[in-house]
Amino acid sequence: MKLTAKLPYGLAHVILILFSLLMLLPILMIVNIALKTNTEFLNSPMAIAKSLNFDNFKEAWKQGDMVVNFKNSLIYTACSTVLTCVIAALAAYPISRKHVRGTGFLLGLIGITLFLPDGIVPLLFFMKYTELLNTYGGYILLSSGINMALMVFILVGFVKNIPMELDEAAALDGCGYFRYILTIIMPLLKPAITTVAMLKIINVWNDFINPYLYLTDKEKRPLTSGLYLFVGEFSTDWTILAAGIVIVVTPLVLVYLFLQKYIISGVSSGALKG
Amino acid sequence: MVKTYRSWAPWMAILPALLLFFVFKIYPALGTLFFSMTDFNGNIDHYSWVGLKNYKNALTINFDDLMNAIGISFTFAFFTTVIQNVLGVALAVLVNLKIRGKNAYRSILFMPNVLGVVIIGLVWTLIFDPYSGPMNQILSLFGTSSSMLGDSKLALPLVIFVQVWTSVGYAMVLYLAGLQGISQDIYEAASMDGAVGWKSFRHITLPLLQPIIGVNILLSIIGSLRVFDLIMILTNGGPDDSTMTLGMFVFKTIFDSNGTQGYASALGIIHFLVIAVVVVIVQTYMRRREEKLS
Repeated sequence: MKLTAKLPYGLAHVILILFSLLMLLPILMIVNIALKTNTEFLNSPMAIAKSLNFDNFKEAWKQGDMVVNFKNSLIYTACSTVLTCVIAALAAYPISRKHVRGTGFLLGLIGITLFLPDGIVPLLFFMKYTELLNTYGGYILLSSGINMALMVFILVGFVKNIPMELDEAAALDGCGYFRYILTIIMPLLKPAITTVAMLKIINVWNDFINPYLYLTDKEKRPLTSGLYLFVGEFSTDWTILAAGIVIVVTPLVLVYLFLQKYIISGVSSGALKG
Repeated sequence: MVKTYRSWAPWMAILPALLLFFVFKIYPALGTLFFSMTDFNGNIDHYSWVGLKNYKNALTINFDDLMNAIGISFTFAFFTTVIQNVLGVALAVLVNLKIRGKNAYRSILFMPNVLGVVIIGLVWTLIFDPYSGPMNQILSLFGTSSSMLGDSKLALPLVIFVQVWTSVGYAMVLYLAGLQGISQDIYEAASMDGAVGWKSFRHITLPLLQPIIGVNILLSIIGSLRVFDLIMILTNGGPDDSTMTLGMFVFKTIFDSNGTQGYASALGIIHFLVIAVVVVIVQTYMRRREEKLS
């Protein structure tokens, strides 16, 4: 038994290493290109960079107006994430406890959103008409609202695990409804809320189509659409573009490295329930 | 149980989420249906009701374009779904073994999912660049070259490859959750009866994974039929419309000066209906299969 099991394990390692390389190599290649001078890149795109050359990062940062974009991305991501977590937790508690009528209907409604059409035309019109287009507030509301249903849905499942007795005890102590959710339920939901927050952070930071549509003003662009439009303007200079890619991707990779547990559990709970 | 809160309090708590949900999800969906029957073009003061004319135009004048887009969408969705799920199951089984570094493998394989379309799109655009891209350097070692994403025969397979590259880790994570739900006792009992290796995979793992395979296939189909942002960055539907999926086609029409936004809305509804029909067919088929198995 032991002997026969040895060989497949070796094979498993080989296959997994090959796939891991397939995932990592493209990113490493980009980092490598970002460290090269343009002539070095044109002469031998594949060779390993001779020296660590950070000029490309400086150039990308300057030419791509990345200070503004970076600040915008941070604002959008932070605000949408906080707003989503609070609003979703507030809604998840009454739905999970069936404190309102029609919770079954609400949950059904959440279920069908997976299939609904995107509705860019009406939304574009709405954003223009309400003058929310190209505003921080408008975009934060939009990016919080766009998958609110999923976030509420994830939390509803977790609220069920909090004992009902706690509700009654708090009520007897005269704790108000909102204060109860915000100060008792939310801290107890911490793991679930971290998951929701992770999903949201990745979501907003990476979003491309929504900023492309609703943040056309150069001063309001986040990193992703800034980078995309940067390509159009400087498409010939691959080394600078590669540096730009590295700048955008670094914060995410760091978040992923430290908090991947929450991200992966969020993905499986979100998808399997939704 | 005593009612311990005011009757309006729960509604007040739900209200913000409900409001956002209706404004940014339900209204756009219903709005698309409404605008699809008008010649709306961005100006709310000037539009008129045209009934089903937009749909009629889509199915007559632009029939060929529409069918081309649907065909490409189906090709894209079919290959992405099959490859992604076969590899997803295989990788999940491998990282579920008690081998060293399984957590590292899991993290690396899942990593592309956190990168986002812009990064993924640009990384692969760079790698597939026909002039100085690394891929062509490798090809030149074998004495050939290719215009990669610029080649109308190669563009769709490459886009499928990038899509699978992105989401295979996602499928793997879902399958892994499924595998971990299968009790070890079953495997032990089966190994007594001589079911090990492939046999135990074929007769225990696969049947017990069936529900998750169903969910995963459905998610892959819906996801790949909807996707257009990645394609927009990689090829923008070209060359020669060879990667013009239905989602991409609808998106392009919105900003096309030849058509109205009303017409684009009608295409959006058609897109939605196509997905709904495929989902219903696949689900019926899978339910029948499950009944047969049980």
